[in-house]
Amino acid sequence: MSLNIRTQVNSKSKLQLLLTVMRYEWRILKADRVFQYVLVLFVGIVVCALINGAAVFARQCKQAAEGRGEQSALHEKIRQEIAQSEKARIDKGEPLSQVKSGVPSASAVYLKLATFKATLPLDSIAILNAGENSLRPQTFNYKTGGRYVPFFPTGDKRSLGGLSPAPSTDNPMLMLLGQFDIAFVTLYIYPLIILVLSFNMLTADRDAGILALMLSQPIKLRTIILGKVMIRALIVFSIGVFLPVIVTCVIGTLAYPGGQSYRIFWQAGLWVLAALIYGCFWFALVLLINTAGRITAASGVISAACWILVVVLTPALINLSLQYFLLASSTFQFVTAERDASLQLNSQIDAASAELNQQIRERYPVTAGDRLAQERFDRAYFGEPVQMVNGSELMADFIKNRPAWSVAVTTDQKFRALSEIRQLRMEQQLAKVLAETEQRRQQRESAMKMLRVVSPTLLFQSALNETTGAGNDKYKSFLTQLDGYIRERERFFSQKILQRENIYATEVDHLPPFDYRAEPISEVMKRILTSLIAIVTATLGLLWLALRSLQRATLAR
Amino acid sequence: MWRDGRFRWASGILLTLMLASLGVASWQYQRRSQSRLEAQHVQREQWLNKEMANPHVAAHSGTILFRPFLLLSVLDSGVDSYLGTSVYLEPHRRNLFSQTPAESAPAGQRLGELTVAVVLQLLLPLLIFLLTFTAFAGERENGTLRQALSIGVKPSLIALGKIIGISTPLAALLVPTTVAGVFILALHNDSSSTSSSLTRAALMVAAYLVYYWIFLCLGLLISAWSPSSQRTLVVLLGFWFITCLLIPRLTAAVGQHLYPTPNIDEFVAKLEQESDPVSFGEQRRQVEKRLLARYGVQRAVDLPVSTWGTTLYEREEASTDLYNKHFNQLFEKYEAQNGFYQNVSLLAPPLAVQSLSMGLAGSDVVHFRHFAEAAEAYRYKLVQTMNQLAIESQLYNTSLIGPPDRPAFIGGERAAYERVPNFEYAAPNWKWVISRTSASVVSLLFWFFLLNMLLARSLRRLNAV
Repeated sequence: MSLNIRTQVNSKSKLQLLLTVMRYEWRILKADRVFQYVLVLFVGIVVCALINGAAVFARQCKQAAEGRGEQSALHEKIRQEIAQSEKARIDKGEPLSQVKSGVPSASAVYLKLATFKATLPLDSIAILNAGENSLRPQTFNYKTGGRYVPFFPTGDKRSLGGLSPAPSTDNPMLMLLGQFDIAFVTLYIYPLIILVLSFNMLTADRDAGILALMLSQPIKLRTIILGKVMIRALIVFSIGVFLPVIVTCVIGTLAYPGGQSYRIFWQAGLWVLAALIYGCFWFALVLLINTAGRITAASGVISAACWILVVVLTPALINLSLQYFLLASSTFQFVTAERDASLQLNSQIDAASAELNQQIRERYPVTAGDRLAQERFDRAYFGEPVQMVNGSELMADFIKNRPAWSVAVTTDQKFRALSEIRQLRMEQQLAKVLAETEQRRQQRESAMKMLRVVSPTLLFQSALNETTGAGNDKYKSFLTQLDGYIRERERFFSQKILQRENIYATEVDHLPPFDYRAEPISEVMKRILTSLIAIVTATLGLLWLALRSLQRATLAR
Repeated sequence: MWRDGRFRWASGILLTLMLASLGVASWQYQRRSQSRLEAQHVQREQWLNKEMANPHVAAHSGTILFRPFLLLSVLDSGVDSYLGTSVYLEPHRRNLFSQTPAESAPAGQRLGELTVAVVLQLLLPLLIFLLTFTAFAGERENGTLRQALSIGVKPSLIALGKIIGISTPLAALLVPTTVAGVFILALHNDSSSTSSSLTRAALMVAAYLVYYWIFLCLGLLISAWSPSSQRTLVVLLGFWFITCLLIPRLTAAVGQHLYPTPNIDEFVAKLEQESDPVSFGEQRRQVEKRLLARYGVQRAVDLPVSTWGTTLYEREEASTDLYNKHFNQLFEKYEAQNGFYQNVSLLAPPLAVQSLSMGLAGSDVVHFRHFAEAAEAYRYKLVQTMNQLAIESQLYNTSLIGPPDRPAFIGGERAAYERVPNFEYAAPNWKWVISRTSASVVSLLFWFFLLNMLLARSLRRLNAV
């Protein structure tokens, strides 16, 4: 035989041997009562987790869709009101550019559109990780014009007034326990199943003398091990990884179409990759335990101990260390600082607002039903310059950097200015506490990123969260975009109000509701790459140790 | 047992974990309590030193209450991380609590929040199983059980010896933790809470002792039944996994489906649907008509009370009733879900001890509700005190617009604010807790008696081979 044919025959033989070992293992496993119970339990758990995850996701999506629907409906309603009003003026032959009672000016349109809701959209892949999204607010309400508006931190030294996260009404007990979803199954149960199916894959055969018998045949130990691992991996990966992902892709594509439909497939691919790597880590670990030369019972205890150490204790110890060594910012600190700043500023702004109200209402009193009086009031409100005594210091400070505002301004413009002054001053006053909060948060996050290198479970969890859009980075990106959107809107209206312009129906179309722009999938991949590389490194390390141990192992008893 | 290296390592690790988590929790409790007291004091000072246009504006500027943490939450923080820490009190609405610690926690915190309760509820039972799985099965495999029975040693005596032999090293773990716990209670002691904390702590100790007895009996029972120690271990670990990890989450998920809570939009929509459609202006006209008739005057300016203040008072009563109705419905959903959770504890003792432990530590949902209702009562008192002042002030009987026609605060502004007392809160007593966790108590006792009975029966039929 030529070398090539011999090699081919040898390769074919090796493959056949491997398949034979796998078939043999499958027969053994099938006959084992414990395996049957474990398999049925695993399938049952995965199915329950999928059903629950899908149900929770459906609820979250419904809420998000209702929020977006409300916003779109409001925009459309305002646009139609303005269009009708414009049509009425055109029919009467009146110039549209003139600010007039009955035609919504920028101030009036602003007040109508001032309240809106922004919702963080969910990726369909989040069916697999429905529980994580419930920890943070998904919807934010923005409402301005009130006297006591809360300020919400949207970034380092940035905070927006009138922005409040919609609180959750979920049972706190449910949040403590966590959702029964595929992420939970993959983090906790999937490694346990691997350990339960594999802790005695070599030790049982060795203790029974079968291994020595097998090795007396022309078959390498590595082939036996590979065959045993592969059949188990095939079973576990099929049920624990591929089944949930395929079902999720089907549900995601059919039930939640629209948006970037290809995205779910990329995310599914990342999930599968991460889960397979994590599974390989556990197989490597259990292989090391098997080659350590202990009896089966001891292997079982060691496997259980490893699971507790890796999945339960190490993440818990890391969190405990973070809590002690890196203080979280006190929530009391921000609340107290915000309140303090707010009360100090409010008294000045209240006095200025009260003066404006009094002046306009005294000069142009309006009684219910008196249309002419209302028209006079509107003309004066939007068109007549007014002086202010209370708050003149606030205005002077404001106008210093805004010469365009130094001309005589009307009542509505002054109210607008006061609103901007509140935002600017509050942000200045809260800057220090926000910067401290952000610094501490970043320190904790950096520390967590460093420390989790020692915990494959934390690394894997972070990969899952990033893949399903439940990670911190997406949330930060959402807040940043929301902050930018709100400031841009405010700037747009400010400009219009200052120039005493109307808002036309066509312009409302240029004010779309807030729509979160999802980051490219490549960014997600970059973020999880480090985690996956760390797990792969740990896996290779364990495999190397296992191979060394194998060389020294006693294969017969 | 002491000679067994595995036991020494395992107990050493567990003891270190318990003491470390106790230390960190105690330090955090100290820090949070201090911050909370300071913040609450600041809020009170801000309230007293306000300068506002009139009582209703003062009410609108409101105040903030910060939720307290009970001392025993050092041992079991329960749902504290998932509950808001502050609530803004203002007229016309009852707000949900905000500033939840979990919102700002780093990713991964949920994966491993190590508290003393986690060690006591999850890890210590595992240690018990690892200590007991060879109790009878291992002796049977070694042949020593047959020898012992052949010389006339009763199985019950063997079992008693095993129990004492296993309990003693366990006590070596639990006693230092208990001592440390008592030390911490004494350290953070304040006289108003001492006896209540001590009673709750004593009940907690009793609950955990019953819990460990259950696991001890179960370990011995399965070991007595099972033909091999390996099978015993698999069964016990399977039980631990199913009851400690699987059933809690599954039960919570089922409870959520059986008793669904409304999401925030549905909650707000229901409030809006049922809110009074009558405008303030319209109601004020009605109030004015009624008051004119009652006091027998012709003009509003002659009334001895303010129509504006009276309208505010009545609207506050109505809105409070509405909000309380919906909040009560929401809390009842929580309690239905948690009640279901407690009922399922008949299948899984860890659920029972978890509910009982959180209840005694004051870190469960019922304690939160108790505080939320106290906060709401305070809010109502604050707002209505201000509205009462508004009524007495006779303000705005002619027009709401323009400067006030008479002094807004009769008797001075600060005196007006001092009419609202400082917020005082007392946590409920242990009897209240037990009444709300009775299902868990029943469940623990059920398991206790069942396993004792089964073990006794099993020992009578113990096989030596």
